[in-house]
Amino acid sequence: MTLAQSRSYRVIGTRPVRHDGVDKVTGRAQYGADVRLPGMLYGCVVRSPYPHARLRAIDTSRAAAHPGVKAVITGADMPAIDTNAVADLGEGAIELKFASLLIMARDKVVFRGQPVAAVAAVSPQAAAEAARLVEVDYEPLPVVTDALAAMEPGSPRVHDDLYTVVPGGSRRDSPSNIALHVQYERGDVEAGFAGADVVVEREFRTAMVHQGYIEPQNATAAWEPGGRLTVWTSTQGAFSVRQQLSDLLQIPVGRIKVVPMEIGGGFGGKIQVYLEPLAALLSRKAGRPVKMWMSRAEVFTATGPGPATYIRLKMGVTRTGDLTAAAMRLVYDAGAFPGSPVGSACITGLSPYRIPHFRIDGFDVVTNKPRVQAYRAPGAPPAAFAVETVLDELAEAIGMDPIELRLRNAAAEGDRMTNGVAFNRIGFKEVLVAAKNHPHYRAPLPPGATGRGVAAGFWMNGRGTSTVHLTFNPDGTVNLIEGSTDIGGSRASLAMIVAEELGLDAHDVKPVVADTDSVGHTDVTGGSRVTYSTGVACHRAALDAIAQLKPRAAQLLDANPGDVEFGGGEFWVSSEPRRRIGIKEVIAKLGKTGGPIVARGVSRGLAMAPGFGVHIADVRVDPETGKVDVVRYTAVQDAGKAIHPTYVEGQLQGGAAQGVGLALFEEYVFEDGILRNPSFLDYRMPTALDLPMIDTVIVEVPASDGPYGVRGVGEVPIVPPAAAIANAIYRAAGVRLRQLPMTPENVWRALAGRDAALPSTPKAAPDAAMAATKERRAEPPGTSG
Amino acid sequence: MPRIWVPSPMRDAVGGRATVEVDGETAREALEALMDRFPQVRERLLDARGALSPHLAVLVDGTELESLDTPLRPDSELVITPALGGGVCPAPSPARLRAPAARRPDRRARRRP
Repeated sequence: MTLAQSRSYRVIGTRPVRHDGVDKVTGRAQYGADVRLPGMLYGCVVRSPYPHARLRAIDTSRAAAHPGVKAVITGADMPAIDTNAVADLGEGAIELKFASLLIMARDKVVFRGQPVAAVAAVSPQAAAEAARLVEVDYEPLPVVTDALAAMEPGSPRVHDDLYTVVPGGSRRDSPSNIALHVQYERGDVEAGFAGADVVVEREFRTAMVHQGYIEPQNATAAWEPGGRLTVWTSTQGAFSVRQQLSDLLQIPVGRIKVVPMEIGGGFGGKIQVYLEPLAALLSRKAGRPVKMWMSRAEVFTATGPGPATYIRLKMGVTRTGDLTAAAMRLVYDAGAFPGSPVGSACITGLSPYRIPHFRIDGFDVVTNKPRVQAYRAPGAPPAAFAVETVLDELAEAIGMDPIELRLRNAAAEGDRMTNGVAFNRIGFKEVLVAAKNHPHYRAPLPPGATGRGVAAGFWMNGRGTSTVHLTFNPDGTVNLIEGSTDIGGSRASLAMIVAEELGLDAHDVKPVVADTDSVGHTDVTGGSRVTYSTGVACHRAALDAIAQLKPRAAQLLDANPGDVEFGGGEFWVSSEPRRRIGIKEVIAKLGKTGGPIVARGVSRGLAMAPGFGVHIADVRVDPETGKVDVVRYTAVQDAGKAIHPTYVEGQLQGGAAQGVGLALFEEYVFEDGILRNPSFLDYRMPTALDLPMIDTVIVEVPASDGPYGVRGVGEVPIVPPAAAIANAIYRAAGVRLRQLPMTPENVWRALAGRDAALPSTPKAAPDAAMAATKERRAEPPGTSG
Repeated sequence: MPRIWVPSPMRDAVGGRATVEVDGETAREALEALMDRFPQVRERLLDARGALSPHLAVLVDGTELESLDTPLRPDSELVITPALGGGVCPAPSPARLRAPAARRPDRRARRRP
């Protein structure tokens, strides 16, 4: 369902078959695993079995002598990087010296699975056998895996040269596991709480979770004799890979070509390079191409999951429903190297609401676990879990409908985010109203459901830089050369924008994701930026094409270029509208009117286009086992303008499904720094059997910038689910869950009264039950009759 | 007159204010004016080389600063905020944004009539 349409379009808003669909369903699409080159070798990584250990010595002689082995590398082969320079990955950032160690350890290992050596051989089997022959002498060190414990002064230190960056930007003098303390403050927090009638303070914890993309990381590298490096890889950003390779291997960007292959999912996890530099170094040493890929266990243990978090949140509200103050302390576990998304959490958690007084303290903390990476709306889901759960509690305490409380305090254009930046046009209120008016919100609970919850989510949405080129074929079709790797159907939406402006059909435009030598710089596919930013570049390229085609049309119409107009796929003479020619004919005759043309579009410095969503969840809680089933689910979101509504709906459904996963099932289970569930057998992701049909509502409040008001949609829908489900569980079972995942065991413990909760002051007033909320059942298992 | 939003850890250097209004037709002029008026800001805003601190980002009217010569409107807003990077959070200002003070020409020569 789509709400609020404005001007009509020919192509925008329709649902053509995706351009890459046939290739993907027939197996013709080329993924990283499909790369095969003459003389290609196979690489294998030697990984640390210890989560924290000093590397006393590495002996590669036996491995190097193994039959078929052509190259062995260790940390000594990686250029040493000794600067504090930061690599901005596009969604996430990491200091280069840490990025280098993440890819290959040198003096010590700081998480289990960290590479210590790599081997290239003529077959995968020979490489694996040789890898086992690499002898590493480890001196195990004390391990810390909990971020709160890591903050304690006596805790094992992950790095001896890490000094806390404190608010204001200076560094502390003594080393610490706290990499960063970031702070935002407004007003007088204590006065704000003094003015509240109800104050609730709660603690929340969320687990480390993996993006769970289907395709493991892979890379093939060919280091040519002239010093030129070509890398084929599954990535969210070919230009980001090129820059990382240049920085890490200390070779000029111009000598590197990165070819992005089709990508089997990323969700933020395929921006950081892991195998690419190793394959490149092995290729240089062996003088032959080297291909590498990860096993699923390697993906779990040695790539970048989302962070475990601890959040303490205090919020105050008046009896009339005005939020007065908030105090939020966020501790995000970065894993082995600094760079958790705590900064974005500090912005996304409270910015959706007008809160006159707040203080936010965020801490980025290192532990002996895999270094986290971006994961769909990095940092936002845990923050929203805390904020939206406490809001639900406050609404109940003052006897107000939970959506009404949000509406009363919702930010609007001109209100400021927690970092001081003012919102431009946003659709949060429209989304809340759409949710409140949706039949789901007022309908009786479906059979079997026992509680309904609601929660909101916010993501800032990225912008960045994108470049596209258009070239033209004699049959009147157009090639769209772009640098945005296609994760979520962006080929279709970008081609539709070009088709809309040129008056063509969607399939008259052929989108091609190009390598780094073949298109201008384009930032990563991440931050929900592609349809917005690359879409603007497409729009500009189409306008450039029209401007270049006009004189050619004028030739064919025997008119002055200044007298020619364009619209709906046709050029005509303004004084004689019946003298007209179709754009396809003009394109087909380019060879006769002056030769080929190339149109281009670049986007950069766009205004922000923030996104908001509200989710409604109905759940059934089994009082005996604690098992939670999601029975009905609706996701409402502002898309600005849905270019291809099917793919917008798909993003909403996919985000909600992932959100259900981190709400109910998913968690890394560590024992002394060793991940005990590095497989899809033991790391429980939701399947179709765990999910109801996820209904979607697309609200369209145009963004301030861009031709159609498009907003990115990919990340917002993973933000609300955890709180929506937790709030539904409360209404179903009378217990507040403040720890993710809400597994049957955790729910059962809560039902049994075995969870510890901080008190609220004063205790809740009348229950602000939503229309369909059934009588709460607070009895522990076995006593509910 | 452009307005600069000052992050809370820096407010002690500007008399506790959250915002300061300054003269300036470019971001460079506005930041110079802020540092002239509140000298303690200089050591917080600039690193040892005189470039904008890598731990801070400056946004002009909601967009990350790319050049100190970015023109300002009379109602422009500059927001100084922690640099977090990562695409959607303000990234560290590029290193080429060299010291407003170090490159400061003679103010009298630059002063508008």
